[in-house]
Amino acid sequence: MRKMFVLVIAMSMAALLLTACGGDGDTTTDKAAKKATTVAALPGYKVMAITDGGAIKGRVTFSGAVPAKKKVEVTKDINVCGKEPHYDASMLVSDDKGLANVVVKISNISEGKGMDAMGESVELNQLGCAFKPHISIVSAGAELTILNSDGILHNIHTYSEKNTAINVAQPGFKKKMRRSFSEPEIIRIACDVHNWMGGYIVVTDHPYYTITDASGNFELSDVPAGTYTLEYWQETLGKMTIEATVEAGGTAEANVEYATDS
Amino acid sequence: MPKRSDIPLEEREYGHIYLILAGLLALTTFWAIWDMIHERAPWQRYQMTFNAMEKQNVKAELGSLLEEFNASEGETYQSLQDQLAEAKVKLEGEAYKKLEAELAKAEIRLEDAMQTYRFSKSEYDAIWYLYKHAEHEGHVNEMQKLRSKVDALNAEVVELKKGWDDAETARAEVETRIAEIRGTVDNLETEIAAMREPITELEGKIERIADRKIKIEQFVFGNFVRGNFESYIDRVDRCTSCHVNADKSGYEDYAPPFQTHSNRDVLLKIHPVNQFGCTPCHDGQGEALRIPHAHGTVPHWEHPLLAGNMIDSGCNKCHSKEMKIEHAPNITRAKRMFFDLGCYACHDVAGYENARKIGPPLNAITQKTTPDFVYHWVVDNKSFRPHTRMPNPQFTHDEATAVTAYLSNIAKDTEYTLPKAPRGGSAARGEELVESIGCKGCHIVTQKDREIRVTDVSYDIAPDLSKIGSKVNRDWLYAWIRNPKQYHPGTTMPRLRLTNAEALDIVSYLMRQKESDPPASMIDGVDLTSPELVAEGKSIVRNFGCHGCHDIKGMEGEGKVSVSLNEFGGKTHDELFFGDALAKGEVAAETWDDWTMGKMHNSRLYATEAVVQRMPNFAFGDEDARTLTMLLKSWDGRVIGQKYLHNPGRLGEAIEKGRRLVRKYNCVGCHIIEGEGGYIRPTIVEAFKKSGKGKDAALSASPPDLIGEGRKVQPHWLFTFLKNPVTQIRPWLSVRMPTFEFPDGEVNVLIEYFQALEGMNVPFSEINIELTSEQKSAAETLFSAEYLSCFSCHQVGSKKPEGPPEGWAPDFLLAPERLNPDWVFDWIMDPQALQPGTKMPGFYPDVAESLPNILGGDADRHVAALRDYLMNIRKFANRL
Repeated sequence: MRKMFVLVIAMSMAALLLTACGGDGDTTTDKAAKKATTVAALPGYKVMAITDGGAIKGRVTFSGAVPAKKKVEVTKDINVCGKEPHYDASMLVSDDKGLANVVVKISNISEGKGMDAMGESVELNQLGCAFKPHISIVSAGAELTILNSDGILHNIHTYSEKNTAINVAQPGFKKKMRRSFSEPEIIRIACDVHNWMGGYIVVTDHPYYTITDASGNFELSDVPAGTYTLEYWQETLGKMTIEATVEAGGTAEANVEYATDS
Repeated sequence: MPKRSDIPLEEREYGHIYLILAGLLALTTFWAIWDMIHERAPWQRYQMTFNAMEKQNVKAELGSLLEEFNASEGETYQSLQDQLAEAKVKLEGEAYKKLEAELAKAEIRLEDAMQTYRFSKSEYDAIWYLYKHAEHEGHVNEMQKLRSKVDALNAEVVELKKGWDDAETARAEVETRIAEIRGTVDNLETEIAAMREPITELEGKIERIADRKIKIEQFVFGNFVRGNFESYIDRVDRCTSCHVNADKSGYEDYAPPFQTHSNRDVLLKIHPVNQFGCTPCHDGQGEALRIPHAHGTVPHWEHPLLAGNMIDSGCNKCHSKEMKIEHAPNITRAKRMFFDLGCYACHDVAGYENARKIGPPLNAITQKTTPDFVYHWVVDNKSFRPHTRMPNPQFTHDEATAVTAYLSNIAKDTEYTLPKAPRGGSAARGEELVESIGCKGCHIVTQKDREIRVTDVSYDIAPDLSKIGSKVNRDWLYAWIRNPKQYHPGTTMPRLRLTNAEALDIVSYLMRQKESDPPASMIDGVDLTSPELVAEGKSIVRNFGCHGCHDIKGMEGEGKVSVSLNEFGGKTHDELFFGDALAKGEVAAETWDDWTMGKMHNSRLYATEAVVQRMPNFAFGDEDARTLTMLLKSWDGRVIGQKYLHNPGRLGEAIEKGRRLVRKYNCVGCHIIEGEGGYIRPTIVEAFKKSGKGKDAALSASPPDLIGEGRKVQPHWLFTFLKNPVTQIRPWLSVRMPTFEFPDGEVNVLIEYFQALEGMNVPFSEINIELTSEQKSAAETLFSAEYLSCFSCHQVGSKKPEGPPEGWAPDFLLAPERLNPDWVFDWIMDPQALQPGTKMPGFYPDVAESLPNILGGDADRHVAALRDYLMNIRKFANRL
């Protein structure tokens, strides 16, 4: 027993010496890394300085006939909700077949730019009885500010699987609330008071996520050189994946076309 | 060499015989020892192996703990050790020794002072006595003489007392200084010990493992099972001699015997090993210590270890009365099957004595269908309805003809009269109704339903209606769906309160569901009225026991046609008749398991030319066959001691009765109860898809999940509702809660069941809620559109919310009679906790915090005001 004890002390002293000697070199890089992220670092993703990053640009299109804009009937609180017409947002295709609201992400990246590239704060507004934006992107653990600009009762009902589902009322007088989601996933949200209201919250595990604009374009910047799998997700048409190779300082093209039956 | 017999006895040589015998004895001894260790006591090796393994694990744990300790607390630990060493040096130092000498001196001084004081005090006491004596005697002179002495001595005593006190103070002072130095050491030692506690604990564990004795472990359970002479016999289990760590977590992934018991934290918590042992559930030979013997896989051991799929059957020995056994899904499913399939109709089984007949009456069969249909049905019902729960009678042509003749004959005398159904009806509207009012809670109507409507069993609980038009006639169907009890008083098919027009629509839709290729008549030209044929049919019906499931006139008092199953699981293979199946290779081996599985796959498997088998053919698939075989295995006739049997208690019994009713009426077809059921849901989603509506809309239009129902609603309301469910709680549902015409007894069982599920002991309680004026005005503010905006979704009598009805929520006016105030409070406070996924959003506590001016911003007071207002809402309804 006594021998053992001496050994323990000897070992602990040795360990102390080692950490004392090796410590200094590491701290500087640690600090640099910490400085680079205002948003908490995510497990499985390492932030590094991007010096000669490339970009991925592309356009998402739809091969089928451009669907007609479908008007959604406003049946409740018309003086607030009915100011602007509502259209079905489940598939928005521009005249030149560009597909809007497609979530694009790099699905196999473990290090790259800092999380603050996602923006300091993400706001989800309930305005005119619609979720604005239709799809919000927020990194796991970061705060999502939920605004009620309508001044009437709304509620945020999340249909999440990995995160605990919530259904919180936001009465008219409560202009602002904050929520965060810890697990990456695409969460459908709805308002039970106004059944036409729908949207999505994309909880991300790294900053390489974006959404296509009205004409189907997107860009991911500061991507370290390498070959990646890009994943596209559209709420009605589902998922597609392609490979893209980014060269240092270069721009990779990554266009995809959704077919009617995909 | 002289002959041995010639040598005198005392001179004969015995040395070589002794040598051989001694050699044999030595060999036998070695053999005995070897056998003892290697053959008879595998448990010794297992225990040693396990101890070595555990020791290694603990050492590894200790190693990593030390590493962690050194990394995180090494520095602190070292500094504490240094401080301790320093403090100990002080203990050895000159200063401390000096203090100790000082203490010795102070103690001597104290002793001296005490001594001197005591002498002086006794001297004073003596003089004082003399003085008092003189006073008593009145010797004034004497008194005066003594007076000065008394005073002098008194002064001396006081002085000496002070000296004593001083000496005591001096000693205390030295002691404090010593304690200071000692205390540092003690504190440091305690602190170090506390820091090292997890390490010391593991070290102790290693020592304890090393000290562990290799010995037979056993548990004895008194009066476990009834023997042949009515008395109860004890049982001894030594299984843990080999399965050393079955009750230790952390060895889940090890190979047996070192594997932790599966689901240990739950199962062994409910059944502690020292109370329930191993063989009560697993069977085998508890006392034995060699592997095959202990597992009972030796000849003539009647209850070998239950292995593989049979494991669950062990649960049923003590839980035989329960329909649902927690943590044993297979046996639970088996019991449901047994109950649903009406096995008790032909077999005697304890606990099913008064169970109902599950089939329809056959006394007016020709009013419902044709003799041709009856003929084909009794020849091969599965070809018409592959999923029917009625087993296949598989009658031969002659048998079927006779049975058809008999059934047609008794139908002539029926008192049941069938009115003509009116003409007309729209099949399209009928289809819509069938899809929307809830028929698909129990019935399959289309092929699509078959694909999407998945239940917990493989057979249909109610008839598949996809070919109903080829079975029944229009008039019968019209009468039946409007009032099923008229034709079949014992039916569980409820009334859906159809209007005549609705019934007609449904009938015209259903009558179009026909068999694509109906078989040709096989009884054309047969005289079904022939008395011989009728008599033969009657005898077949009686012999085959059709009256077990069906009401048949003239067979009311008939008994069960087959054997009792109460001791079936205990039969040995030589008590079972295998027919030619073994020879033909249709059963794998001559065992109970194989026999029973064979019978489940094909009830007629063991029929030979000489031996007729009458059991109708269930033709179960593999999984169902195994499930039922497992249940049969558990009925082995053994009577287990009372104290081992599960005692459900009053609430448990109420739950048990309720579960049977829920099964009987198939409430789970529509509702989710105890987390199971809601089988109608996919069909509603499908119907909604047709009209372009999404899954969410479909689910909110589905019959409600009855989670927490017993606590949610008031029993009196539930009674009235179940008797006559016309109150529309959710007007947006097109699914109708049907009228089951439950007898009062059954309604009470259901109420008690829902309450028992919530652990409620008192069924009825007085509800009298006072609403203060402060609460009233607060609640009115909160209800309003500017605040919680409750009327945005909730209906209040005739005042409806905006928007389409599917977005509405229940009428507040129902609350005072329907809802339990305690539940209302919890519901408003956190709806998701009571019903995960509900559309009712949570307002509290956030809302209260943002409204400090209302009831002090206190969430409890807010919610209480809302509840109390709601429970009194009828008083204010017209003003809302």
